[in-house]
Amino acid sequence: MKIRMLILMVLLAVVFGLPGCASYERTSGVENTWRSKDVPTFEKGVTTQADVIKALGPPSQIITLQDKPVFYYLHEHREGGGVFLLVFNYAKDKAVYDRAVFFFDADGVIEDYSLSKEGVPYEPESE
Amino acid sequence: MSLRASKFFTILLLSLVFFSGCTIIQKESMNAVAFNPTEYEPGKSSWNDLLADLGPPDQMGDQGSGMVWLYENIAVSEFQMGIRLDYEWIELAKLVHATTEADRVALILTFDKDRKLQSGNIFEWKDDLGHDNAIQFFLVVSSLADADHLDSSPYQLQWGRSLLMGLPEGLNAQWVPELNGKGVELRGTPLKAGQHTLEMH
Repeated sequence: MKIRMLILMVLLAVVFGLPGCASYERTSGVENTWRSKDVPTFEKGVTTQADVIKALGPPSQIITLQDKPVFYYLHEHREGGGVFLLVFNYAKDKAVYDRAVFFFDADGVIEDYSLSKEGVPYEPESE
Repeated sequence: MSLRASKFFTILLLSLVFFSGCTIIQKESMNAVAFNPTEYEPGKSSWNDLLADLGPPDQMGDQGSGMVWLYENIAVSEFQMGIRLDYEWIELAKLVHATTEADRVALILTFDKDRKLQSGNIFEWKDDLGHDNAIQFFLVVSSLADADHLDSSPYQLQWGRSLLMGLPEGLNAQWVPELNGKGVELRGTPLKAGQHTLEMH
């Protein structure tokens, strides 16, 4: 009886004692400085391309729409994790894209701009 | 331990070992798309209103004398059921059947030359990404479905990459909508049809 009990305990330990957990977090793209408290206010009809680049750095993408420049800033934040229990496993991966877009007129002054509703808290990269 | 408890544990152990490897894998990317067509009037609503309400689009491009914006949201779910046979060395392997699908939302807004809304349509659909079978080592947990084409890095982060592409892909880059700003393209569009055909994948 004791041997059976021992085997049972070992089997239970193998089944339930080998679970694994994992989590990860990574970012790519430009730093989302537009979420910083120190970022200057952007004003339509006043702020220029140079001001935006000075405040936020080089954009992820510069495109031309109807012969007018658009600066597109993109910060990708991806996190996920999982529980691996032999019997049941669950893994989840979620990517959030923090975005800022600036539309300029032909003279390089902001016509309009917008920040994405989904934001990632700004964390300055260590120098 | 009583006989009853012993039977209970034995059945529990057998069922745990036999029905092992049930796995759920979820991938969410992009962002929520909320658009109510009744709030906007074609020919009158301006691009500024939509930009303020919806935020930056995922892709933008010229379209004739106007422009086009694309918003996308993709959620991939994979469900795997694994079965192990409790017989000699075969018990080290599990038979896995996986079913994968993607919930997709796409909003396309077009604007005329005065940047007034021309049309706004939101689409929601499910993509069946396949049903796959595999024999895996019983400790392995990995995705069986190939959903990388829906989970690729955004085009905005690939700026300048076209300059480093090999031939003939590099030659075709200036004609690919999302790379040249002359249109937009849904994620996961097959590379063996349309403009990408020239890349000879």
